[in-house]
Amino acid sequence: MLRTSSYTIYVDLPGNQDEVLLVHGYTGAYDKVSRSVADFLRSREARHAAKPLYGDWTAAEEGHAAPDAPSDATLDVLREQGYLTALGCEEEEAFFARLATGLHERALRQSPSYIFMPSYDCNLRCSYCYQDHMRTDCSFHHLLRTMRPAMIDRIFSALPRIEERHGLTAVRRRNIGLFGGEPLLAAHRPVIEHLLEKAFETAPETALWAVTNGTEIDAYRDLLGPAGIARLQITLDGPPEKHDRKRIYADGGGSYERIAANIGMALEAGAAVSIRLNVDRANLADLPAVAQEIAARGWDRHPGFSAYTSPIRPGNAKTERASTLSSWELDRALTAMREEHPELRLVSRPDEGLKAKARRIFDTRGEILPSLRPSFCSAHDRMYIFDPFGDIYSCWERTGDPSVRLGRVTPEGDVELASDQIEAWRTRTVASNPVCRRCRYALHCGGGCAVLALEQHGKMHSNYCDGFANRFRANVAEAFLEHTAGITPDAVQARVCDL
Amino acid sequence: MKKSRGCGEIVRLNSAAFVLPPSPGPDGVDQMLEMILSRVLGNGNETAAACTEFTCNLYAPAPPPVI
Repeated sequence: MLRTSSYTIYVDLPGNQDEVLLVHGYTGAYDKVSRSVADFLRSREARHAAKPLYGDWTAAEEGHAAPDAPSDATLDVLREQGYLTALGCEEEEAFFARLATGLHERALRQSPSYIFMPSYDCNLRCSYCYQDHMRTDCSFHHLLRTMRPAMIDRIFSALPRIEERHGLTAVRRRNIGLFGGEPLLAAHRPVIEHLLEKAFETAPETALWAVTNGTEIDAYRDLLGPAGIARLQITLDGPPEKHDRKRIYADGGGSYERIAANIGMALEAGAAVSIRLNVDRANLADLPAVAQEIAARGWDRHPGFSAYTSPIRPGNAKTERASTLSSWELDRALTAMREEHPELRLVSRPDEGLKAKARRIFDTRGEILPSLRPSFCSAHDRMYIFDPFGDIYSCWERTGDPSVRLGRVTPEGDVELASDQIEAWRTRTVASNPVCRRCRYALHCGGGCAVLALEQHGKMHSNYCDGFANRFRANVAEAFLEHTAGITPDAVQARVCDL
Repeated sequence: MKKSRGCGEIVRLNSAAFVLPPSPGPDGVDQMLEMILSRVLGNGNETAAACTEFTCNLYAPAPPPVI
């Protein structure tokens, strides 16, 4: 007898008591079913049923008649889509784990992506910066050195060694990012110029991007655009007066006007600019003013412009946990604010990508395969971050910490990798901890951020949920309702990734 | 248990990436995994950077494609 798959997700539709969406956690299936079919599936669950997102939860009444069995044709579809399975709970969990591991092994063979950190130094002193100690504690002063051209040469000599590990030879297109500290300080210009020369000389179709604070990118005007540094991520923390309280220079001065002028300059130069808005409870209410500022400056008229929100995390002792928002809280707050402030459409919610992904599936009537994420981010499969000393890291949140160093580039231009760190970072998947392995959302979520999981549970191979179940169901429901209402998808759906 | 007549019970919004056979034995699962992985991920030799570090939720979504 078939039972309901442990990886069946039920999505209630607001205002619709008669129908429920089903999503399958590892086949990627999406279906709309009658409430009675959903009830039937819930009655065949071996484990407790999921609580609904909307409405009150009531347990099944004692002696309640079993729901009608669906028709044979419906049962066939439920089986084909994965909601009914012949596998026992443990068998299915083992299958799920093998599938996730197999997906991850394939991901490990994908093309590597690289990040160069020209320096850990930065000209700003943002209160919430997770690297704050590097600039305020003199025992870390040794880190604030700028990468030398010889080190850049050495790293580029090492890239083919890394690519061989991924089964690649003669790579013509690389994905290279710049990160810091602040990578695009004016003083770094000779180093960055040298890096660009090496990048295009060794792989002519290289895609270059930078995460920058934007304060000094006017020194790079001629290097910005499709033929150079094609994409920039720049942070604003609110309208001018609020931004200038958080993103400050070492002397306490504000940075807004310089950054705003440079955003306009970069867009004019043809670079794509993604504005990141770090949000907590203190600046949430300022988001409409930011959206108005974006419109007033005409940034949104550039096709390469986008803006998105991200919750500030309590990443250092200066950030109180109570002042922060979870992704779910921020997403809901912004959704509610859009009712009163339509201009907030210019600013993406944290989960816009989740909704866009579901919307694409509904709009294309299943012509695209759902993407399944065996791990949370490329720190677990193909990211290599080089710091000024030739040390290699997997995650930029932990750069500069020798205890999590993935390896180093040798003076000969070879690569030495630490097997314990490779094991720690590159094997973290949704199959590598028991919570994710049994989670019906796991292959849609990827298990959450490893660094935040480490902070929460004391071990990296653990889950960091960040309200994902709520976020997933809410966004799938919204996508479906907008699809059926014929509402045009938001432009932000041009994004590549789901977060 | 009563059987429904099946009208409007289910509408497929997409197709599952793969269909598990009714009773997959241990070998069957292994073979099927290969098929599934090929279908879901192609040949596994992708070189395009479809996803980037911007997947990280701390530095969230990717900017739009380069014009």
